[in-house]
Parts: sequence; structure tokens; C-alpha cells
Amino acid sequence: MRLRLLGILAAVLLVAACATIPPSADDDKVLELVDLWNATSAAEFSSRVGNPFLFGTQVLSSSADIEAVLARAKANGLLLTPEIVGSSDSVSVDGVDRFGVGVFAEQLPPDARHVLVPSTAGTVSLIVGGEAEGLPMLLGIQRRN
Amino acid sequence: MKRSIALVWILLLVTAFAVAQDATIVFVDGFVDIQTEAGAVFPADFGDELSAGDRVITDRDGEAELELGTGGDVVVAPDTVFIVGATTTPSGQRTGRLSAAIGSFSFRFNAAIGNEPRVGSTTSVAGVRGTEVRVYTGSDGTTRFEVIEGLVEITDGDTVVSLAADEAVEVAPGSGAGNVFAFLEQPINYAAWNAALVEDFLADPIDSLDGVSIEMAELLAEIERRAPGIEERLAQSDALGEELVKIGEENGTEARQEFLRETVAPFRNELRDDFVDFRFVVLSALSLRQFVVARMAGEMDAAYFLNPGDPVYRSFLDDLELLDDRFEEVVVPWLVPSDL
Repeated sequence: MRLRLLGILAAVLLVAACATIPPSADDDKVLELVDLWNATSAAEFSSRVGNPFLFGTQVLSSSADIEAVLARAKANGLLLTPEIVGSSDSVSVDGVDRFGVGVFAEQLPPDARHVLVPSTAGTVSLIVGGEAEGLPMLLGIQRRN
Repeated sequence: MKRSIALVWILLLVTAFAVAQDATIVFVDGFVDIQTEAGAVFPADFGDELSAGDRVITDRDGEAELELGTGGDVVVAPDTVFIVGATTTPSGQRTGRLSAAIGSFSFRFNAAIGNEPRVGSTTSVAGVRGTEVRVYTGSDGTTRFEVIEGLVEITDGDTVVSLAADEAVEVAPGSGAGNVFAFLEQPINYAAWNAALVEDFLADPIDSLDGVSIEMAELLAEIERRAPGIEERLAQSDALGEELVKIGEENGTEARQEFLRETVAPFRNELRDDFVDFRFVVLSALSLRQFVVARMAGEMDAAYFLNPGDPVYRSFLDDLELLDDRFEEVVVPWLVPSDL
């Protein structure tokens, strides 16, 4: 009886813990987002990106700009490999000494996470955080060679 | 840090002492936000009042209509960052200044001729006379003026370009106004027009960035010219505040109220107007960086993401770094994070 109670308690704790894990901390969900980058158009993918969005060293803050720049990157062959080769909960962003990038970095959500994935442009750094339709949102992409 | 605190203080002062509302939102459709001069962002609603320095930001499906306090209606199109500004003319008259940092708006003046605002973008401005005009600002900083009724005069350095009804002109950053041409009365397809500008930019990115750098340099020169005066008046305002406290302690509440009414309030009202003018230039520089330069550089980053060693890209980055160094030096000290 006591063992059964402990089992139920453990299951409840496990469910509660799972419920509080943000999508950005779940590798499978991050990889699902990576798959969507490769499989959908920039217009479709734009509902899964944050605004402002960091592309390279530029902070884009209009949804039209974000979609256009992502479309350009995809049209120029930027494909991501669904494999996480490194990650960190402390997000380091190149170019934080500039005002726009510095403010972007300061205002990242608490669950923001830095994920490294291979790509057609070498290893890239993805900043993921928040949530849209059950997956983390893509908040930024930087080249990391 | 000291500057930031002073800036926050003066921004609060601007908000607290705002007396005249420059525009009122009379129609909203879709997602439309207002970003106030002090940086607060909230969804726009019917009846919201705007002051100089406030921005109206529409999403791809958003549209807003504004009624100006001085007479006139503005329709802000989707995907637009519209700035309500004010400026003091050389003759000392306060006048409105309406700008699209990116996107488009139309303006129709419906009051007695004589107090029309100036309209344009962060890089080009026009005086209007009894006019209905459409203004488009592209991602490369190009400004297009279309006159439906009345007259428009675009001043670009020493050159003045006059437009009558059914005439239009495009003003490219750094290279001035092109030829005046007749246009069809229907609004252009902004997205298609803008996409063509972006393709032109990518075909010659160095020259395009040089043009924007020239416009940015003009804004920075204006900031550098005005900043010492603003600094001095901020210091005077601080000194008056200290004197006010001292008078209250030594001579009582009545003397304090009199000093506040007769000396401090008029000084701060004047400072507010000067500061709003100054901030308009600062925010214009920020908008140029945020919506034009960032888009250009983002397009370049995307185009060369797989080939970052390309000499054209490297040369673009070198020029961009020079622009950014000056921006950080001159503009950033006058910004607070909520400006973004």
C-alpha cells in the first residue's frame, strides 16, 4: 500500500516536472523546429519566430523584414541539420556591444537557450525560447565557425 | 549611466507635461500598437491620443486612421512604422511632422491653409499646401511622394522639387530626388515596389549603404549641433529643481508654489518642446538604423550566409562598422532600451 502511494506520488511529481519544462529545453521539440525550418516556407515558418529576431548581427524588428530575410536565407540554401551538437542555457550573443543587439540579449525570455546545429553554412547557433503551437520559438540565428 | 537616468527623467517629464494632443486614433483594424515617446507599448484603440514622439506600428493586416489636432487625416497602411513628430521652423513656428520610418501612409489636409504639417520619412521631408498626398518609405530608405491634390515641395539640400496633383517623385538616400513623373491614382503595390528596391540594393549594396550613410551623417550632425544646448538646459532644470526645494524649506509652501508657477513650469514647458524636437531627430536616426540599415544588413547576411568571405560582403561589413561606430557614439547616449 505504502509502495503504491509512493509510486503514485513519483508519477505525479514526474508529470508536474514535465509540465514545467519549457519547449526550448526539450531537444526533441527543438529538432522538430529545425525540421520545420527545412520543410516549410519562410511565410509559414514566420509564425514560429520571435519579434525582434536576431539574424547574424542584425536585430530585425518588423515582421515583414523578418520574413523577407528568412526567405532570402532559405532561397540561398541555408538548411539546418536536425542534430544538436552543443547547447547552453546561458545565451551568448555576438555583437552585444552594439545597442540593438545588447537590448535584444537583455530582453531574451528566461527560458532562452542556445543550441548549436550543423548546417549548410557550417555550425550555426540558434537561440530558442518561448512557445508557439507546442514548440519553442526561434529567436535568432548566428553563424558559429 | 548618469545620462540614462537624466533621459528617463526627461522622458517622464515630457509625458507628464504633455499639454496638446497632436493626433487621435479614430479607426483601428487588425494589429496596431502605439509606442509612446517614453517607450511604453500598448494596442491602439479608438480615441487614443498621441503626442509628438509617439509611434503607430501596424502589422501586416493592421491599419489605423488618425485625426490631427491641427486638422487633417492620416491613414497608416499595413507594415508601417509611423512617427508623429513636431518641429520648430526657422521662423519659430511649431509645426507637425509626419513620417513613415518604413511602410506607407496617406495624408489629407482639411483645415484652413497655413498650418499644414511636414510629411515624409526619416530621410526626406516635404512641405505641403492644401494637399492630399501618399508617402511610401522603402527598405533601402527610398521615399516616394504621390500628390493627389494640392502642392508638395520637397527640399533636398539646396534643391527644391515641386509636385502638383497627379505627380510623383522618388527620393533615394544620398542621391536626391529623381525625375517627377505622372502616376496612376491607385495606390501602388507597396510589397512589390519594396521588393524591387531590395533587389536593386543587393545589385549594388556598397553604393546603397553609402547613400544611407550620407543621410545618417546629416542626422548625426543635427544631433551633435543640438546636444550641448539640451545638456545645458537639462542641467539648468536640475538647478531649478534644487532651488525649488530650497525655497520651499526656507520660505514655505506658498513661495514654493509661486516659484514653481512663475519660473520652473515655464522653463520646463520650453525645455519639453525643445526636447521633443531633439528627440525626433534622435528617433529618426534610430529608425533609419532599425528599419533601413538593419534590413539592408540582414539581407546581406542572408545572401552571403553560406559565403561570408565574399569581398563584396566584407567591404559592406567594413562600411557598416563605420556607420555603427558613429551611431553608437552620437545617438546611443540619447536612447533608452525601451526606444527599441
